[in-house]
Amino acid sequence: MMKKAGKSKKRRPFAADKHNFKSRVETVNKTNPFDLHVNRLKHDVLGKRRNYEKGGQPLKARSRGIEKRKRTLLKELNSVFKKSTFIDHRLGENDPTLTADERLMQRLIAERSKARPGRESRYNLNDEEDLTHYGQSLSKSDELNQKPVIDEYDDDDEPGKGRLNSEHFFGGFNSTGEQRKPQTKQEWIESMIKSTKLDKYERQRENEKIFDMTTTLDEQWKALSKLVGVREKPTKDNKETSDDYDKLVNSLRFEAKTTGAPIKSVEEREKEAAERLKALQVEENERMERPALKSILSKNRSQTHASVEELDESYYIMDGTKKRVTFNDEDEDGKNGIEATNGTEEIAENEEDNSEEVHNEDQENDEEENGDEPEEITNGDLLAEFDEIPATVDILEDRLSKDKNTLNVIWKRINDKRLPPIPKKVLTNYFDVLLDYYTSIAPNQILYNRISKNLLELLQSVNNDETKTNILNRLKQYHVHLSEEIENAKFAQVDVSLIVFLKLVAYLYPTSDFRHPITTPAMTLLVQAIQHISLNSLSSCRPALHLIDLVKLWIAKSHRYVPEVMVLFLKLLQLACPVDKSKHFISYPAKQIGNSQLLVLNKNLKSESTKLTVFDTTDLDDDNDEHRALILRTCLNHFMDFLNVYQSLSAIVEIVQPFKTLLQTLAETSKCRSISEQSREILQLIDTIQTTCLSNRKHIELCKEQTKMIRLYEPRFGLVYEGKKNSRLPKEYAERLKLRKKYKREVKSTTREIIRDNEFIAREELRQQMEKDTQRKRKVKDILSELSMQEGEYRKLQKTK
Amino acid sequence: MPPTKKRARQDEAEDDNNNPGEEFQTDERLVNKIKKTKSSDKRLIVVLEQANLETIKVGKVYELLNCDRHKNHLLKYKRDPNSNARPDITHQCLLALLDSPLNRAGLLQVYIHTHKGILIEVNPQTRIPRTFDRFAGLMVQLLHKLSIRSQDTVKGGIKLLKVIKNPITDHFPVGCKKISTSFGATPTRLVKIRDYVQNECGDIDQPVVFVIGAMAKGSVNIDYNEDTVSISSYPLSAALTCAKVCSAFEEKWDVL
Repeated sequence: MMKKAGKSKKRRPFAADKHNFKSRVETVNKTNPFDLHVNRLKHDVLGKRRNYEKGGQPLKARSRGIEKRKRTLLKELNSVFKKSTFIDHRLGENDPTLTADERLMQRLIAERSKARPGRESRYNLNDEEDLTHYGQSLSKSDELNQKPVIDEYDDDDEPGKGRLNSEHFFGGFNSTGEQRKPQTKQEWIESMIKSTKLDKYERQRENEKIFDMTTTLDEQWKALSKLVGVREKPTKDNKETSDDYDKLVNSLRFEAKTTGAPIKSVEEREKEAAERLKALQVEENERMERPALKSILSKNRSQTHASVEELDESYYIMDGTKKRVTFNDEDEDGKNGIEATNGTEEIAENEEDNSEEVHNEDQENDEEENGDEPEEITNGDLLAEFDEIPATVDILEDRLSKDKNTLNVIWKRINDKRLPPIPKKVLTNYFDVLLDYYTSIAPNQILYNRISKNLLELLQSVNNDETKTNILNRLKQYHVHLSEEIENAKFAQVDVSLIVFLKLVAYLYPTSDFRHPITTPAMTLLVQAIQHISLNSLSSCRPALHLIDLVKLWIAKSHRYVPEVMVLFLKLLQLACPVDKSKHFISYPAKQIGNSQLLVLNKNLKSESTKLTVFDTTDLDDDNDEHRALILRTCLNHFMDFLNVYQSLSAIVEIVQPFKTLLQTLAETSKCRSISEQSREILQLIDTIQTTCLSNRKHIELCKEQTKMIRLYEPRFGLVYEGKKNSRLPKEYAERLKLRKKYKREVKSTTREIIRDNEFIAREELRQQMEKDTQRKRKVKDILSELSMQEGEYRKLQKTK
Repeated sequence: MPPTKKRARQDEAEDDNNNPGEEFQTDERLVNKIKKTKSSDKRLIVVLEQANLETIKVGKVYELLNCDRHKNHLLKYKRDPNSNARPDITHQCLLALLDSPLNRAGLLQVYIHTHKGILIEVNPQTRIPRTFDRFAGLMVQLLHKLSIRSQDTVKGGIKLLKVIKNPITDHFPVGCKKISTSFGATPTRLVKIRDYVQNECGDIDQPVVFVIGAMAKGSVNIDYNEDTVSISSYPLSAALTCAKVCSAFEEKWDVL
């Protein structure tokens, strides 16, 4: 062996061999610092344990490898292709260090593991294995020596009578000679069994006796108790069996299924209602505002400015690569919701406003409400089931003609919670019917109020597309009617029904909204009517004033500017100014204004306090000064109200400028003192408004140029760093990656090993070959030398011959 | 035919050049300014020297070595527990620098040079985490992965922080003035930072390098500086120094 190592010395560095030698001699394992191979640390991390920190020992590893190959590969190499050699594959046979015992142990372990493969057997405690001793089963021999099973009960019950008395120890002292007679084991056991059986039998008899006695006593007691009258207690069986679980079940069974909502006090309810109202008002105000451009664009644009100290939200989504969940349709939903609930919310509002009017009537109605329900049967097809509610206007009118209180009765039925609720379809139909009725009846304030209240409440319970389209269709009809008239005659007379209907719309829906599916078209209709109203006579001026009144009502909250109204005012005021005295004159088409001096008063009038109402149907005489004064006064009143409303407009200065001259001439020329006073008053108001407005005006300024700013980005990083490349991979995928890596490394190391094996084999073969060669050469040399010697000897012989 | 084609191509090229400029005039220019790290556009380059950024493995996870959290570990590895593990100084400095109007205007460039010799380039568009723990997480990841990208998924995000090659002088624009700050220079070279920045830092359009030590004690040990100044007769914290220098340059370059 040593010789071989010495031969391969030339190919290996000296140190390796030396080291090899050392290890073989088992000296102290000291590593030569020059043998160490240390990689430069690129990224030093504290606390990181590295296997290669101590440095690799390439030489040692190499020599170890060669040693191993010599032990294994070389042996195989020597015996390969050779049929005449035996290889001992017995376990431990190749290792001379093992003793015979250890060898046996190894084989046993191998046998066992072969018999029971698998992981579970590693923890097997050999329970079911039969141990043997000299070929005899140990468990069987145990059976022979087993003692009889002793019942514990016996020991406890009769300590004095136990078998563990002195007899068992050393044979006892006071026993008779017979008993002391030496017994065989078998006999002893038999006698023992006998005695225990006897004991048991006796005990059983005793127990039976006691049981019998108690039963008889019980029966006697029962008979006696009946006589005495002691009440039998309920058996306790139930109680005994009930454990915690049963108790719980029982408690659950008897528990109240629902808890009633806490009854709210009146104050609480009021408070809630007030809060709701407040919220609704806030919403209404919001809707009144022009939707800002920003809010429209904000959906598409991300947040432009993050405040400096703001924390990054996505930090907790580990890596930030996942997209944040956003609800893009949130805004839309909100909008739809608002639209859907528009009506109802507003109604609540308007109800508050109008409740005063309605309240009185309500009380009256309540008093009258004692009438019994009518039992009419209609030939209803769809709405037959709910015949209390009229399906058409005719039915309603019919019923109304019979009973004045019908509306209240119907309303009572709708609200009655004891009766089956009325489907929304029927209610919508009823809404339509009521609307029809509303438009059909003659002007009557009380009836209007009552119906509109009903309509409002109906709308609160059913506010759907049908009611909406219903009203819109009616508006359309009015619009078509109006446009036709305008096309025919350029200017139109406005019907009372339109005014009443528009008033109803204002009552049912919020008019202050910036944009509303119903009130916006209604408003355009109203404005169109104002624009094209004819002012031929005093009686035609009256609807114009009503329309103005309507506009005033509509814009009371939103303060929206309606230029048509101002123009109408101009026209009306001009009518009141005598032509010759006015300095400022605008001519209007003759079709709209028949008489340009319609409103010029001819004589002084005392102030009157009559009010213009829609329900006046009396004709106004064009030549009646009182009527003129009435119209003019209302006009001026309305104008003043509008001025107050429009005070805050920044353009009010220019808007009111044309009125000034008209009012001045009116103040100067009017023969009615009150009117001239009023116009002066208005002039003063105009002056104050103009001065305040002019003082408040601000110049338009250019927006400041926004500073250019670089955009900041959130860095992407994980919560904790574990050194893994990608910790968020799915488990299976990660496992596969791991396996692939392992496989790659394995393949790499195996190929390297194979290469080294081949190298080793080649080296070994070369060495053997060279050895053989040298041997052959030597032999040849020997032979040759021998031959030459023989030849020499032969020649010597010949010479001598 | 060929000349027209050529012309057409030229036109196209011009269009390509013009269009983005028109659309994102403000941003594009700024971004370009930021990208040209080696260009000689005017800007302030701040180098945070001797920053204590080092990772430690505790159990399974890597953490930023911190004197408060890893006191026992520091004792175990025989480190100075009081001075050698203060990443919070770097954090404060970075916050002060990158929040400054100078940075938002695109006139600031920050480099970090750790005491272990790792050089980090900080993109001005980085939003440094506001809390220290997050900052620590960021730095650990940076030190291991060598670069940090932004969260925006456009083109896989911009590289916000990256570890770059030493020496730092390779990354400076040519011919810029390099000034280091030190309290030790107080007796010899105490300057009023405003005046110094106005008068002695070269032309108004020249980039300037300021070296500020982000360590707890000691002084920076560099050889590329041309001047060493002290800006206060009192010892200043690193973050305060950064803020003062930034504000001085904001005044110089009219960044409000």
